[in-house]
Amino acid sequence: MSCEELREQYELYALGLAEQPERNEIHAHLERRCTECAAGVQRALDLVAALTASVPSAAPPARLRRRVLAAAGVPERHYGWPVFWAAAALLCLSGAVYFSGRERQYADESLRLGRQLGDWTAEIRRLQDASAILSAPGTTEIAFGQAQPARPAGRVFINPTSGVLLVASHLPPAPAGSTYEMWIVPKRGLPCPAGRFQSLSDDSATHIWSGPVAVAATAAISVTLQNETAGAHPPAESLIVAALPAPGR
Amino acid sequence: MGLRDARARVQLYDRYGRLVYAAVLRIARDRAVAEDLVLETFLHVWSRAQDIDRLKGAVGPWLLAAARNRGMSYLRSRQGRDSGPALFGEDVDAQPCAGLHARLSFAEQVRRAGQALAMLEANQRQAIELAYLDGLTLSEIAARLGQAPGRVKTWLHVAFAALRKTMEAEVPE
Repeated sequence: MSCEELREQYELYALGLAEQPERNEIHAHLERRCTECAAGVQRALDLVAALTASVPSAAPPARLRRRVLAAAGVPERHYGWPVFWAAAALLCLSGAVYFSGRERQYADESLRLGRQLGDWTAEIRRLQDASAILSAPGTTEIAFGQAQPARPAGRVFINPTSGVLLVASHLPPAPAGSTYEMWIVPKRGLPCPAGRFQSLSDDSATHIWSGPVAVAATAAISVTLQNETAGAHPPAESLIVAALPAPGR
Repeated sequence: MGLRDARARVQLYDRYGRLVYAAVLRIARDRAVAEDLVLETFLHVWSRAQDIDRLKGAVGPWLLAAARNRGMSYLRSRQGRDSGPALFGEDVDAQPCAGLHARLSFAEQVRRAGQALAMLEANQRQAIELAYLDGLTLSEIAARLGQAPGRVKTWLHVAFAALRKTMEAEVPE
């Protein structure tokens, strides 16, 4: 069929609704890099995108912005000020401890602020690690739980040099005395533990394991529920299994 | 400034987050699910930062296509369907200079699409919406509207011809 005959079919093709033989014909034109059909299909895809965006406006909740940017490894802007003020307060308190007679009280406060500063620094480092995995070349993205609405769902990003990033939703906080544990499951041999984590009160979780991963030798990333005091032995049941695609797919 | 830059990521979310949320909310009709789908869409974008940087002006259509594809996958999983109409629109190698974005800004494309959609006859508009927002096949649309598939196909052709005409009209000087 000629491009002229296929012109009316580009939008149906872009929506996945073109029937045979037109669908195969357009596919064949695209395969042999037909510029007219490629441009036509691209315009049709743009039209579908514009139609999708033309739905009535709806304002996303503010927490969604925080979730998206945190998962992308972008610290919120206000993050810098608490760190700055905590550092400034720490300095002032250190001076106060030095110059006043209430050493004990100020020393405790100084210690508390020092710990808080450490927590913030660790969180910033965690977000930087997430950003490194998402931005690094060669990162593989795997979705899990998409076909099971009541089960944990999300994405795993795995990079051979930077590590593994897990972003999950519908994962309720682990029961008291338990914690979640991520595993790197090799194609052969025993799973390797890749860190323990807790989910948040909104049932979302972000966990990062930093370090090199033999992606080609990895079959899946899984998550189990562990007793907090238990050793690193994988229990029989995995709550999350994100299977890596077979090579070449 | 590329998407590997933190500021660019924030700007991209601030620019398109509302559009993406509205689109997936209309598709999924569930606020909690829509939030998850927005998160998935943007995570997908961050993970392909290198590719996306090359799209330049075409990021909007690409992002909405990625969001729609995630919405369609959700609808299929909720309905227990393994398959449905094929999903396209995330191939960043496809003709980066050939689309509507080569002539019109994405905001202008969306404005024109909304305007043209509103001017369609009700049956044509309903058939189109069942296709791009509900992910139905031709025979499913026909069954939903109580019409023969051939008749629905004709409505879609007529509707898309009208939409195409509006989208491809000259930009006034």
